Amino acid sequence: MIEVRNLSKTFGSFSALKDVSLSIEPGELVALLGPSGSGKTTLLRIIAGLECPDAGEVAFEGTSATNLAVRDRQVGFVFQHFALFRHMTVADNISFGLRVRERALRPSKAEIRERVEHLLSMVQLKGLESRYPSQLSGGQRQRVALARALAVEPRVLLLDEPFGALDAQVRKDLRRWLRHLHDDLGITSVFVTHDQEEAMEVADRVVVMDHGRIEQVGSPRDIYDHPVSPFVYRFLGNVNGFPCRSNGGRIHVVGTEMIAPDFAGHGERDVTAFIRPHDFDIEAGSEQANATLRHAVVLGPQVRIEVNLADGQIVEAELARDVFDRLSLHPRQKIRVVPRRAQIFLDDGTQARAQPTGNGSG
Amino acid sequence: MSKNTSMPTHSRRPVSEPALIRWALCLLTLAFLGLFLFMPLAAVLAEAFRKGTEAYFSALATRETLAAIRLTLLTAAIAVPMNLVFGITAAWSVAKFDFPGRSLLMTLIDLPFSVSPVISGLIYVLIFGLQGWVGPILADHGVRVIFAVPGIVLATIFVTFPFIARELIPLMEAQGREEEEAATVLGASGWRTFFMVTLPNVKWGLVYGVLLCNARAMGEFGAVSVVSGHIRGLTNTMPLHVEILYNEYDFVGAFAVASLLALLALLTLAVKTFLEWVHRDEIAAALR
Amino acid sequence: MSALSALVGTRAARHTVLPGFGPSLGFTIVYLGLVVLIPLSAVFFKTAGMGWSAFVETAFHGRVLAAYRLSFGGALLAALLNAVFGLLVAWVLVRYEFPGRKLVDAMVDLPFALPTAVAGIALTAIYAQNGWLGSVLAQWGIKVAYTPLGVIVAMVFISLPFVVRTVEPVLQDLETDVEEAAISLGAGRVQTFVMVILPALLPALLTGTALAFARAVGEYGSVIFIAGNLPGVSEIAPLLIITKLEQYDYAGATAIGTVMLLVSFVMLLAINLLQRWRKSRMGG
Repeated sequence: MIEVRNLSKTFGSFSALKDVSLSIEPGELVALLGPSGSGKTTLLRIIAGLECPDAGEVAFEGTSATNLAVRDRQVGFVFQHFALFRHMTVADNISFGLRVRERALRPSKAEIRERVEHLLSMVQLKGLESRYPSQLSGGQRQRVALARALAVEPRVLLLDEPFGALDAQVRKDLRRWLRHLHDDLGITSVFVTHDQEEAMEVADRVVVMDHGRIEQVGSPRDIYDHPVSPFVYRFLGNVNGFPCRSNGGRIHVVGTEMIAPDFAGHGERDVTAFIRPHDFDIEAGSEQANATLRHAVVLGPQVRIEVNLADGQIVEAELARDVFDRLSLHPRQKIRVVPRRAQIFLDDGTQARAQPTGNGSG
Repeated sequence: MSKNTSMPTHSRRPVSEPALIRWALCLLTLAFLGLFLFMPLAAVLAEAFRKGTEAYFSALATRETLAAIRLTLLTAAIAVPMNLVFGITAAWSVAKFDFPGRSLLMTLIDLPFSVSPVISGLIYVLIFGLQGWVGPILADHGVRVIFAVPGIVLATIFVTFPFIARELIPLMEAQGREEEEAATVLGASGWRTFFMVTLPNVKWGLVYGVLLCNARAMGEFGAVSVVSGHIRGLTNTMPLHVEILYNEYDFVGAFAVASLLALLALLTLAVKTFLEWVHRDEIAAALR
Repeated sequence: MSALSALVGTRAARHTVLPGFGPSLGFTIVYLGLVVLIPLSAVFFKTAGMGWSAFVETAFHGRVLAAYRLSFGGALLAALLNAVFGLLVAWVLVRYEFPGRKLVDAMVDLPFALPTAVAGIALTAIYAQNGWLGSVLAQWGIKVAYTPLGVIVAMVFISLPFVVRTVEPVLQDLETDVEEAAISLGAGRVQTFVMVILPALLPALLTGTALAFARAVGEYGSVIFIAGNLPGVSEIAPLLIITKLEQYDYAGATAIGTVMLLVSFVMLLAINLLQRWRKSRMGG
């Protein structure tokens, strides 16, 4: 178990981490997700011991690691650009961590060879042991980096943007493969990514970060369904944001009156209503058309459409392919767009769920 | 100085000059280099062998020439290792770490390159000469620096001071810190990281730096001339011996010794070119 | 000095886990101080001890002024000549393929590796009146050896690689697509060179020229053999320093040394500024 307590870190005048706390359970696969500059890589490097925090501490299994040098932390670290030793073969790269152990702890040559063999077959690189890194593809280098980190049997595996430097297709394959590998080995793992899809697909738990703070921690589903802040809302998948005024919890969005019962006691306030693209009903041939279809993209079973509201605002919506076909929509067609639900945020971050009131006022 | 990693020339690119101009430029270049590079080299050999091979070898076999060769080798054998240690340490601290004053430090390391060799000698005379800061004190204890071997070694260290650091710093900078960090995370100690990861990555730059440093150490003239005192057989290095023989109109002798130094220069360039050629993939990878 | 490195060390050490920063920086600074900085400071202390008027009198009287003129003027001419020919050599080596190109490329470094005294006597042998070139030139009444012209020839030789070696990598990295863009926009070859290629090479070219100048100004070994060393005519400033030293006129030698050293520092500053300009223009 890894315990991160009240970490802060500044680089010059840039504050990379502000009082960050987090605990990671044994065997978990955790994603640190955030835009660049959110502090996710700094957090990972501090856990590894590659950076020292200005304040706060990291503990492994209850013991503080503050005075533990990197080399004694028993972490496996996979660097963003792999950092393979370019003058060493694949086998020498993988065995490095074993060969530099002091004599008493160093496995025998035969054991090392055996371990390398095993790791090579695990990362599906058998037969490439005498190649040099420059003779490998990006995906292969990535797997060598992973095997090298695993060779020392670390108690935690840390990966910095593990798929960032790879092509889209390779990235998809490796992602799935990493998930399976984790399921087989059960080693506690933390990886950094800026790709929400990657975090959602691979991780058990996602830590969303922004501006050096943790915005939200939770399972991928939890985070998607219940974002705690406008930032998380926007960062996870597509969302339409509508600045509007709320009076006693009543708002007008996309020509629809909606009500948030939780804000019923409030007076007049500026709020932002967020509506996911798949939370719209689309009607064609209605008398009460409130939008014009601009553009439609078919993505397999889903269709993503872009519509212009009467006031010029652009809204993104998604509907099922069969619905789209039944309505036989075409560009410049007048349609009616009705939100099914919305999430309303006040400036101070408090939020409430809103539903249409039912009296469809135009 | 800077490394030339020959890249393939695109000879048949669509954007180029007419063939006539290309040929003219090539010929002009060859004429210029022929005049300033190849002709002096040829002149050394021609003059050295003007009176035949026998005269050449007997000119080399004098006691004083042999003493000069010995002193030159001794000087290089002290100066090069010292600057090697310095160059590696300086490159490690400057290239792998960020700290205030870093660029000033790099400028100061380059300083001896832009100081006239004569001044490089002069400064040691001012310190260790009989009228200098510590010269009189040392003389009281029977230690002579100026007009003696220690002065020659010191002046040589000064002029060859930046060579190895200069080769290593850009290389080590370009390679970043990630590989060293990876080694540290995998449990390697500082020394092991240095010897197993850093050093192999810069070894060709290091070899080239040592070669250039050595060539300069053996060939330095101005600085050594100031501190040596030109005592035949005692404080005469090979370049100084060339001057003495030349001024005594012993041209065959002067050019014979000069030919040895020219051979050293050619050997330096040949080894450098050979290393670059053999390891061109590795060098390209290291600079990527 | 060690206090400084310790202070700097604790601050910088936080940025990375790599070990050995304090000791390596400490050693670097101490070695630099002992071998370079303290000895160099001796020149200024010695000069400061001789008083302003005595300094001006020794460092700026007739024979010395003539020596400066030759050292600085000759170095400037040599550097300019090398700017033109160095650019040409770099261009031909990077852009054209011809037999022996690799050999020529390797040989450009010769002046770095060849001891200056060897270069000096070789050039003298060539340009003396009975030499290979000297005898030809003599027919037209041109004397090179033992004249200021000889000084310039030696300086050209000694500073030859600087421009080539600074321009070459920049020329190699220069993408052909900018030239192709220029041509597609209707520029001629000469226009492309003057308006697209030359501006891109200019910072490197200036840096190389400045380095060549700095080297040629202080050059001693290759020059004295070919110069003839006629006071007021073909006598360079570094030789004057030696002459004064041989007369045990340490103050006089130091005064001239101070002037030369100050010029070196100005050149170093200029080269640094040029390089900074280069970086800011090329984005690193």
